[in-house]
Amino acid sequence: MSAATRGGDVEVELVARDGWRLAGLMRLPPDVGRAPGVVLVHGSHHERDAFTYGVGLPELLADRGMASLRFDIRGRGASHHGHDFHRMAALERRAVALDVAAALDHLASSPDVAGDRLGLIGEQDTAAAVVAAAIDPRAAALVLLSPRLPSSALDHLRSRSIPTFGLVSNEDRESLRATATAFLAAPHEHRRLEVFTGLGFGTTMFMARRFEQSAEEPLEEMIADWLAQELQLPDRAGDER
Amino acid sequence: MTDAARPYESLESSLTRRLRELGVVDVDVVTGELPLTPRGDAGLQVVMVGVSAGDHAVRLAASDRRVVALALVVEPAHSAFGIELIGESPNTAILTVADPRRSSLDSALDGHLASSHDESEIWIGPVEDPTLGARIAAWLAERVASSAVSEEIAFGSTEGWLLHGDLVVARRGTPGPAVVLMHSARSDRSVFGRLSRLLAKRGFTVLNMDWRGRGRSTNKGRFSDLSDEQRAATSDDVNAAFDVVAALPEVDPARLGVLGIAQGAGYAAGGALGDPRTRALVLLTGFHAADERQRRLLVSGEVPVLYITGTPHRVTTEAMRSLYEQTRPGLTRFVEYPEGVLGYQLFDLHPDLEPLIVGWFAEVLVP
Repeated sequence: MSAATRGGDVEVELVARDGWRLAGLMRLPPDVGRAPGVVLVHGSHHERDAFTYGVGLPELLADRGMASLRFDIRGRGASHHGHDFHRMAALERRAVALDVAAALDHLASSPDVAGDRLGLIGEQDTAAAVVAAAIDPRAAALVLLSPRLPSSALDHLRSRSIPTFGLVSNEDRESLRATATAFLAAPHEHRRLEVFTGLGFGTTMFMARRFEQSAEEPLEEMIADWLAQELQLPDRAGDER
Repeated sequence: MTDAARPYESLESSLTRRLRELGVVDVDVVTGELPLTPRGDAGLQVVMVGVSAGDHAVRLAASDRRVVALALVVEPAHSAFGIELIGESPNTAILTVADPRRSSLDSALDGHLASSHDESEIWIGPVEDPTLGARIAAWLAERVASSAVSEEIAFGSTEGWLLHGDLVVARRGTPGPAVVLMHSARSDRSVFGRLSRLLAKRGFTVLNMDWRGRGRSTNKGRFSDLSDEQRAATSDDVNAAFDVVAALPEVDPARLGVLGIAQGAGYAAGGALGDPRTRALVLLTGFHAADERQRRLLVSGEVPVLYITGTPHRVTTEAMRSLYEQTRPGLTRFVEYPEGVLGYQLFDLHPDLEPLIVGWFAEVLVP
């Protein structure tokens, strides 16, 4: 990728290990150099544009010197291919972890990205797939928005503990419990949990925050700042265990 | 295992006999060795084996999207993994039959409670009950039959948009009411799985569509890439959907309802309030009247409205309450929940909300 593509979205096609083709958009920061990268994974009722309503997380990440890759997960948006995610059986849905792994591979192999300083953002029901993909040694930071995590996800977290930022609204008790359980299961020095009031679930919290709590710091800014801090300090990145 | 399987022999024969009588053409009873593998063809597979069969059947259902119903009889003995898979299988209705005299009752209950399908049931009683086989057969046959009623359709709207949706047609003697569903701007029709099912069960024809630029309806691009001007015409999609259902012989074109969430609620109101076929309007969270004309139409009470909001969404809640209070007493209702979550997310927190909506549509649209 040349410097000419910096500052805008570039369409990329990812191929998961089982052959599923995924439609992605990559954005590089304006400065030349190897930047940390972040994979943005939407929940199953959303598509990749869940991260770009309003200000747009990819833009905020780029402003802070980070590359990002967002894509439609299998069975959603332009990665549908006639197989709807919501008609898939449970074990087929779990293969979203392969989609996330393909996105990590793509970022890591880009000459503009520092392949060992990768972040992951997951929301709601696909957060478990993001957690599963985070056992990859290149993953150095994890953001969980209203995650629903089965106990298998806790095993993944225990096997490799990395800096994690959880964002949950207090009416979403299930996600609050899942995040707290995850933090207890896999302790790490770099842990942050923000519990909001009245914002709902997942990336729709971004909009609710801007609309209903406009005097407060937007969640996108909070996430971008945290990732900048965790991914841009080489001594902090990676597995600390 | 032979000893464990023997008590179920009479159950097995009555179940398969009854299934064949009910028209389930392909019944295969597996009592053989584990592990089981999914078969290549469609049909109904009845699995009845001994210890840990429950987990194997659950795994089978979790690997094959065609499995719409699963009956787990007497000793499901779920592992933690099996229970997790049940929780991740929202499209499979599960019937758990537990015998109160057996220690597996506990695990059977855990498995049942993990299922989020609203047709999942647990029956507790003795396995020797001679009617059990026939009752399980009837339950399975009904689930298989009712799962195939929705068809995917495509229809045109203004500005060259091709819209996709799931249509369920209510088959009844006389033309009946129809409901159109409008999702929010970041989601698509996938948020209305349960509501569509409940409406159809109550006898409504339902068109659950992806409106322009969302889900499968992206022949002219994604909604998020449209200009404000282009977005404003999304309300036309309601009228296009009304045209589709009104043309069905099973539908009374003067009894149409629409439900919208957040931005979708704005488009629902925009399209429906100018359309004389509209008889009911449900607005879920994130809505406020677009202009004075819309406000007047809403408060006129001519079209009954069900307003649903969450208190922390102060702007919306105040707007909805004020509209409700200005409306003449009638069928218009105002429902406020304490949580500030968006539309379909309220369904997650309040399993009684979708039945409440169905009940209101029935009150307004069914004489």
